[in-house]
Amino acid sequence: MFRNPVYEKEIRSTYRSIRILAIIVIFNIILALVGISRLSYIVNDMHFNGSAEYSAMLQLYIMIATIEFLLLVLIIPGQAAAAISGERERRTLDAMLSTNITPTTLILGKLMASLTTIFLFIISSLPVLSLVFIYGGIQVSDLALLLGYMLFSAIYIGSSSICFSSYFRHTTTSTVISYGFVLFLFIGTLFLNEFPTLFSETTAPTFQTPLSLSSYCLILNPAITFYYIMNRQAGNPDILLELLHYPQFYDSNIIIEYWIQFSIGIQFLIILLFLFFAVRHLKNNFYSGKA
Amino acid sequence: MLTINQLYKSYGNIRALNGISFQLVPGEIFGLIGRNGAGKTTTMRILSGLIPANSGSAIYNNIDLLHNRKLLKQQVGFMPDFFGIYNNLKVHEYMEFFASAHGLYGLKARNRWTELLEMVDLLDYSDSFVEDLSRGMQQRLCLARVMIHSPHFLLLDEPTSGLDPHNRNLLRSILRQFSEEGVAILLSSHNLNELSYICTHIGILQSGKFLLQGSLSDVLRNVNKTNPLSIFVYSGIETAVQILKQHPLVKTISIDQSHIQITFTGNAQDESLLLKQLIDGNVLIQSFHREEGDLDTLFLQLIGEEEEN
Repeated sequence: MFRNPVYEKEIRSTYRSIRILAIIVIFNIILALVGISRLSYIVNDMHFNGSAEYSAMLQLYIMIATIEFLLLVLIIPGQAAAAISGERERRTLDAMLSTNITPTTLILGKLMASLTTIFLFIISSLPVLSLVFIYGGIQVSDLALLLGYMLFSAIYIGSSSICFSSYFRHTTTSTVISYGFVLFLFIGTLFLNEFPTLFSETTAPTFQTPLSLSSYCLILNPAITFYYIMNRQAGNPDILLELLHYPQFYDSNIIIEYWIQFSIGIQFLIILLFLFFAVRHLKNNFYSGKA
Repeated sequence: MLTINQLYKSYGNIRALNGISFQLVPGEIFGLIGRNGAGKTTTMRILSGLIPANSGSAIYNNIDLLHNRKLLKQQVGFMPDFFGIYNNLKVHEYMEFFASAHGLYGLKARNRWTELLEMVDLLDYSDSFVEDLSRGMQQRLCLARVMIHSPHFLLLDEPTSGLDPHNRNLLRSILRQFSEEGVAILLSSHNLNELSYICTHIGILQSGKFLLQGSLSDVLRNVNKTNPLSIFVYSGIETAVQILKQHPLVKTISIDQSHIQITFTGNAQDESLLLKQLIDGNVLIQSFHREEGDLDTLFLQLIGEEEEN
């Protein structure tokens, strides 16, 4: 059976600390407060109007899932950015790499440990997310898809943070760079999408280029894919075209047609690249004495 | 036995190792002496597989370990100068982690770490957190963990730094125990007297090359050549002084009642001839010996000579 000593050590030491428990509790309190207060508002509204607004339940679903996603995005770099630089700062990297632990084992062990934590966050949030099942509208398979993508995004952001942690000697630097990268993914790509419209007199794209190249940067943005998945489930698939400023009278191209598959595919390739560069840097620089 | 041949290592334009060669023999403790930047840590990091050498070899059973990192990691245990520890692990968990890092799990791992913790006198602390141990205990724990996979060669970079005399003594006896079990140990220290207590062999490194290396007794004999000869005379001190003044190898003479101390540049045979000359001159000699040399003196002399050159 495959065993990763780094993963086992990380899990053992992480879950011993009260810190992780506190973060999970706070995370769920925030979700529960938002969910329950919104639900009570919806229920009161139903009593007042005498009719059930199913769209309100879908909004509740979108609201809780979005907040959960954003909280996770805030937590992951803080968790993963110290993965390698922390070992370096503790001066334990020498001891670890003088054993049979290879840079690949180390990187994968750290990534798996971060993901286990995120998985725990997701699982622990299920009771709050299940509020959406009270009045129906969302299927379990929809929720599973959304949570699956949440975990995938955690791998995406976690692998980038671990890569930066491998490149930068100090945890502070790798943390700042990791959050900077997340900011670029979330805000920077949105800005790139909006950029051409800022300087053109008309927002309507030309016939030849219905979508500017910079708009395709959104494919890197996990928030867009997440938002699109949610809205598609809630019966609003046109949200992507609105985000892309794509005129609905044009035929959508293959990328837009299969946006989720393309974005997951490209983000998966980027994950592989991040992991490859993290391992390569550790191998090249550690074993050449520069780390 | 590990035979290290012509190790070269450069960091950019800086040459860290300039073709050093030596042997690590089972049961022997080889001490590396040198100033900061002399190449001690680089030697250890190469031999532990952490950094590659530019050229050279480390032959064990006809296999060059520098080109067989897996075998090297099986055969070598390395304790760096800054032995980072995991504060939030318990002592036995720390040992289990390093056991699993070498592919040891379950009962096999447990038996091994129990044996080692007993050896370093930490078995009673196996349920304590590593951060609660004193520095000396942590150092002993690190020593135990580098032995977890039963390596044949132990590389210890400054293992006694920051330890009080009690813990230094304890560490020395543990190292002797490992050595008696057939482990070859390479260790570096700035505390040269410390090395002379424990090492069987010494190598003095300067600018990436050995200025001197050999068994401790041979090396100390080298020091003795430059130490003063001490002669206690029972009677005939005037005659003795006259003979000494005329001797070409005697450089300085100091007299304190019946004790004469001379700087004598001759070898062991010259010393014997001088003694015979004094006895033939009817000087009654109570004692005749070289003052004991120490590594500190030798190190400073060699470094001084090297810098003059």
